[in-house]
Amino acid sequence: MPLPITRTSPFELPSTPGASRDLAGASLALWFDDPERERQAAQRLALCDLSALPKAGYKGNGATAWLQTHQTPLPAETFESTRLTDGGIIVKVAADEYFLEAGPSGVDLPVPSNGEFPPDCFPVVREDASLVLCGARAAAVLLQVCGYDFSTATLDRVIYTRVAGVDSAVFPAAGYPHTHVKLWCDRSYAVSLWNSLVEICEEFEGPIIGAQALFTDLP
Amino acid sequence: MTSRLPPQPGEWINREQPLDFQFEGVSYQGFTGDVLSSALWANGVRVLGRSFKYHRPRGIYSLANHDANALVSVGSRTNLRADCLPLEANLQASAVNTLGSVSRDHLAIMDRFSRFLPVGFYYKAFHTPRRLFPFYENQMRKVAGLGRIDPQYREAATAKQYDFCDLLIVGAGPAGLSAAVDAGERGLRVILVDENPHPGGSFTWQWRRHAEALERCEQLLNRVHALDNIDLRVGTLAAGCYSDRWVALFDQQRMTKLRAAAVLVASGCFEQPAVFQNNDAPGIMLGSAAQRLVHRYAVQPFSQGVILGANRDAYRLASDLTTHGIDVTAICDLRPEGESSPAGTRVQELGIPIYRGYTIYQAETRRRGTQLTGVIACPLDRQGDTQPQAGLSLPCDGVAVSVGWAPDAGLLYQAGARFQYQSAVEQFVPHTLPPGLFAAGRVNGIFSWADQCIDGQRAARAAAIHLGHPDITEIPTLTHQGTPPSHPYPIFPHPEKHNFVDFDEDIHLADFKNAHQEGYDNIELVKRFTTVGMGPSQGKLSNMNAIRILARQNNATIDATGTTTSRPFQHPVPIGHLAGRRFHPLRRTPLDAWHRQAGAQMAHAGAWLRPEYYGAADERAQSILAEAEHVRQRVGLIDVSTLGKLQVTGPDAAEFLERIYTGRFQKQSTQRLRYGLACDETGTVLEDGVIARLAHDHFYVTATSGGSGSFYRELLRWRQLFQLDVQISNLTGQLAALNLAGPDSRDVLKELACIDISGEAFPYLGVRVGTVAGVPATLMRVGFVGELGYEIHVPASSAVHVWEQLCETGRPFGLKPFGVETQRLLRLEKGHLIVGHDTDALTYPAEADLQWAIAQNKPFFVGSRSLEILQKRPLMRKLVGFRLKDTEDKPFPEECHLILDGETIVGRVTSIARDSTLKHPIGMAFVEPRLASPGSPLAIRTAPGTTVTGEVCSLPFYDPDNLRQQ
Repeated sequence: MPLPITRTSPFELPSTPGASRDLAGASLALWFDDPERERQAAQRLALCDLSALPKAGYKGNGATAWLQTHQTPLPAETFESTRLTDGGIIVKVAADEYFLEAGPSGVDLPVPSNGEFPPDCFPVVREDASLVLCGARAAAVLLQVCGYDFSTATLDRVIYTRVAGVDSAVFPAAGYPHTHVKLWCDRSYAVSLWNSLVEICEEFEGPIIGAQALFTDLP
Repeated sequence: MTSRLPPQPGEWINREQPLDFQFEGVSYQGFTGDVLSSALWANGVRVLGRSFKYHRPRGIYSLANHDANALVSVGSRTNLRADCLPLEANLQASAVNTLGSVSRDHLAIMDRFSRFLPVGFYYKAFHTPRRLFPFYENQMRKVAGLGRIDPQYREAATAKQYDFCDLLIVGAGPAGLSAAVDAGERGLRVILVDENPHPGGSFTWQWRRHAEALERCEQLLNRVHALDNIDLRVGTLAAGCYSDRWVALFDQQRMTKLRAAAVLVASGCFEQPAVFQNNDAPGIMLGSAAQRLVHRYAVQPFSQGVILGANRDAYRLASDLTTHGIDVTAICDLRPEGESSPAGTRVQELGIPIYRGYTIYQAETRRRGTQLTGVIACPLDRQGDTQPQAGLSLPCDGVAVSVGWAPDAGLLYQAGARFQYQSAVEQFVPHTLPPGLFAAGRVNGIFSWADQCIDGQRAARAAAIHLGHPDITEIPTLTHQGTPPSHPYPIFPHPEKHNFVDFDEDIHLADFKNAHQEGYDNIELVKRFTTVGMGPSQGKLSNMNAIRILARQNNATIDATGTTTSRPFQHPVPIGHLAGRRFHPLRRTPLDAWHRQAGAQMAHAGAWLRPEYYGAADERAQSILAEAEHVRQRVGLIDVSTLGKLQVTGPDAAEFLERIYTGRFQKQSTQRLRYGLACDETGTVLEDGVIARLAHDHFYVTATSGGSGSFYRELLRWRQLFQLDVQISNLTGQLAALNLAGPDSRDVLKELACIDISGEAFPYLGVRVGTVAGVPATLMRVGFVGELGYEIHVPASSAVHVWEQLCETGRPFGLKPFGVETQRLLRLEKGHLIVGHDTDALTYPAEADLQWAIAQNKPFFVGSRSLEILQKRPLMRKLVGFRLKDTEDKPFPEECHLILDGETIVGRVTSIARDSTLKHPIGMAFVEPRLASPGSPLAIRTAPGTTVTGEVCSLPFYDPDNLRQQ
C-alpha cells in the first residue's frame, strides 16, 4: 500500500505532471508534456527535479564498516562514487562520511534491521534538493552559472562548488542515456538555484521534464 | 564623400552596403565596416569632439581606442568612442560635453581662461567665502563631466559567462597569431582574442604593402581557422587580469570570466604623441592612425601632410602615404642622424624633404582651431632644445606623428609582471613574469613583423612547457636590432602652453612644472595632482610622456621614476555587462509558498525570507498585536525553520560542547534540554541556543538564524584544534522547525503526536523523539515566547505536511499562524534577548545578565580566560528592560536610539515595541550600570530630536514566575 504523500519538493513545477509515481511518501513526476518529446529534450537541454528520491547520510568512524555489512559498494576515495543496485548513488563526502541517494525505486538505501545503528555510526538527515541538468547544451548553461571547468571534470565524481551563487555538490554523471549533471544543494537555497537555472534553460529552449526521460527503465 | 580612397586590398568596409547616418543632426553616408570616426573623416568632418576642460576641437588621433578625443552619445548610451563604434544604418550620434554643437561649442571660451585654470586650481579656489561654495559647486558640476546619463535608461541585463582554456592569447597580430598556431598545433585549448573586428593586428595597417608579410598573415589565419582547438574571438577586449589568470573578456554581448592555465599577452604597443604647441589640433594624428584610416577604411587622413618622426616607422609611413596619393610635405626627424635604413633611402628617392634634428614647434590653425593650416618646424640643439628663431613654416592640412611606442602592458602589470626600461628600444619591457604569464611581440620590444612571429612562437612554446608539454624545443629570446623605435624625450616647451601631454584632461607641459614646484615629485602623486592618466584613456597616450617629464625634472632615470599602478579595467566597459544576471540567492524555508498563499508579509532576515506577520501591508501593528494576543490566549504556530540546527555526535561530543559553551553538558540527562551560551576567545557573546541530549554521544543543538553558518564553521575549526572524536553536521536546511505555542498547544499536538506529551511525561525543557502526523520528529519543550510551547523539528520535505496537519487539527482551537515580528514582541515581553540583536560585537555575558549561564569552576571553555579578566573589571553597561511613559503625540523611539543624561550618551535602545499585550510600550536597552536599577529614569532621544522618558524595570515584563510555559 503506498504511503500517503508527506514529502514535497522544494521546487515549483510548471504544471501538474502527466504521470507520476509515489516514492517513499513523495511524488516523482515521470513526465509533464509528452514522454517522447521530453526524451528528445533531454538530449538537447532539460531540467529535471529529482528531490523526491530518498537520501541518507552516515558519518562516524563506524560508518564504513556498517555500510560494508549491508553489502553497499563503497567508493574508495573521498568525492568518488559508486552505483547502488537500483540506480542510486553513494558518494564518499569525507573520510568518515557517506551520502546516499536512492534510485527511482526508492528502496536501495541500507537501513538497520533492528532500527539501531552501531556505535560510531550516526545517521545524518539528508533532505538536499536534487536536480538534473541534462543534454548537449547543459555545458553552456553551466558556463553561465559556475566558475568550475566541467569539461575537464572526472565523471561520477562529486565537485563542491558554487552554482548561481549557491553552494552545491555537482556530479557529472556517466552511465545514463544522455549527458547530464546532477546537482544537490541545501534545500533552503533550492528555489533560488532552480529559478536561475529555469530562466537560463528557457533562454536555451530547455524545458522542465519528468524523470522518465532520465531513467529509461521506469514504467 | 570627400576623403574616401579607391578600394584598398583587405579594407574592412563593404562598399556594397552603404549606410546613412547622422552626426550632430547632419546626414552623412558611410559603409558597413566603417566606425563612426572613419565615416565622418571620409565625409570631410574634422571636428569629432571637444576636450574635457578647455573644450578644444579634437579629431582622429589614434583611431584605436587609445584616446578619448571623439566621445559620442547615441540615444541613451553615452561616452561611446567614435573610433570603435561600428557604423549602423540610421545611427544618430552627437558629441558629448558641448554647449551648442561640436563645431560651435560655446564653452570653447574656457580655452581663453586656461591660464587661470591650471592643474589643482580646484584645490585652492572657491574655498572663500564659504557661503558662495554652493554656487561654485553648482556651476562646476554643470560644466564638468562628459556625456549625460539618462536616469531612465535601463540596459538589458546580459548574462555573464565563465570560460576556460589552456592558453589565452591577447592580440591577434603577428605575434599572437603565430603563438596561437604554434600552441594550437600542440593540441592546447587556445582562446585568441582581439578587440578589433578583424584579426591581423599590425598586418592590417602597418605591413599592408609588404607582400611577404601579407602572405604570412594569410597563412597564419588559414591555420588558425583550420585548427578546431583555437577559438578566435574578434571584437573581444581583455580588459582586466586578476589572480590566478582570471581574465575579464568583454564583447558586445557580455562579460566572460575566463580562467586560463596560461596567458600570453601579445597586445602590442600604443603609439605615443609628441608634445608641441597645438599638438591636439584636428588633423594631427598618430602615424598608425593615418595608416589605419588608409588601409582599414580607405580614407585619406589628409591631402598634404607633414610627418614628425623619430624612427623607421615614420619613413615607411611617408612611403605608404605617398603611394596613396598623399602629398608628404616633409619629414621632421627628431634625430640629428636621421634614418639610414632602406626605408630612409626610399623616402629620399621619393624626393620628400627630410629635416634631420628638427621638431614641430607649433601647429598653425584657423577657424577657432578647427582647421590645420600648417606647422612651424624648428631645429633642435645638441641638448634637444628647440631653436624657434630658426623655424620654418610648412603648409599642411595634416600631421602624422611617429616618434615612439609604449607597451600595452596593463594586463601584464595587473598579472604581476615587473618591467624594466630598456634604452635599446626606449620603452618598458617585461623583466620578470609570474609563472603562467608570457609576453610576445611589440610589447616585448620586438618591432619587425618577422621577429614578432618568431617571438610569438617562442612565447607559445614557453607556455606549452609551463603547461607540462614535453619535448619542446625552446626558441631563444630575441632582442631589437638597430636604432630605438622610440625617442627618449619627444616633448617640447612653448610659452603659450597649449602643448598637451594628456589630451583627456587637457594637461599641458607647464602643468607638470607647476606640480613639481608644488613638491609632487613622485609619479603616483603627480598623477593624483595633475590627473594625468586619470581620464577615459587611462593614460595610454600620456603616462609614458609624464614619466619622461618627471624623470627629467627629478634628474632621475626612467626606471627610478617608475610607473603608476595599472588596475582593471584598462578600457571602459559597459556597466550593464558588469552587472550581468543577478545571482544573490535567498534562503527560503520549506513553508515559503504556504506563507505567501496565506497572505504573509515577507521580510528579509539575514539571508532568509521570513513571514513578518500575516495580514495587510497597511495593518502591520494591528496584525502583530492581534497575533501576539492570540498566542497569549489560544494557540499560534510559527515557522522557525531558520533556526540553526546542528548535530553533534561521537564519543567526545559532551566534552566538545563543554569546551564550546559556558555551561556543563557531561552530566546532562538524555531527553533534557539545556540553555547554551557560547563566547569567542575575547569573551564576547557569540551564540546561544538550546542543547538537547538525545543519547550519551548524540546532541542536537540550535543556534541563532543569522549566526548559525559562521558558528558551524567555528565549531569545525575548534574540532580541528581540539582533536576530539566528534562529528558535527549542519542540519539547518535539512530540517524544518515549527513552534506551536499558547495555552492550547498541548491539546492540538496530542492529536498528532505518537508520544505522551502530558506535562508529567514531557516536562518543560524536555526533548523527545517520536512522530508528528506520521513524520519522524524531534520535539522540544521550550518557552521562547513565554507560553506553553513545543518546537517540532521534522525533515524539511515533510514540513508542509506537518504544518498543514497542525493547522487542520488546531482549527477547533482557533490555531493561527504568527510571524517573526510577533515572535519578537512576545519574547521581548518575556525578557528574552536575541544574540546579535540585543547584544553586539563587544557584549560579554555580565553585561547581558547572563552570568547564570556560566558554569563555575569549569577548567576551560572558549573565552573563559578573557571572562576571568573581564569579571574583575567594573561593568561599563548593562542590558535592562524599560517601559515608556509619555509617548502620546511624540515620535516613538526606535532601536539604536540613544539614551542621554543631559548631553552625555549613557546608553542605547536594543529592542522596543509600541504596542504589546501588556498595553504599554516596552523595550530593552544598554545603559550605564548606575542607571540599571528598577525605577531609574531614562531619557531617549528620538531621531527628530525630541526626548521621550522611560523607566527601568525588572525583566521579564511578562509572567515573571514562569507559570505559563510549564
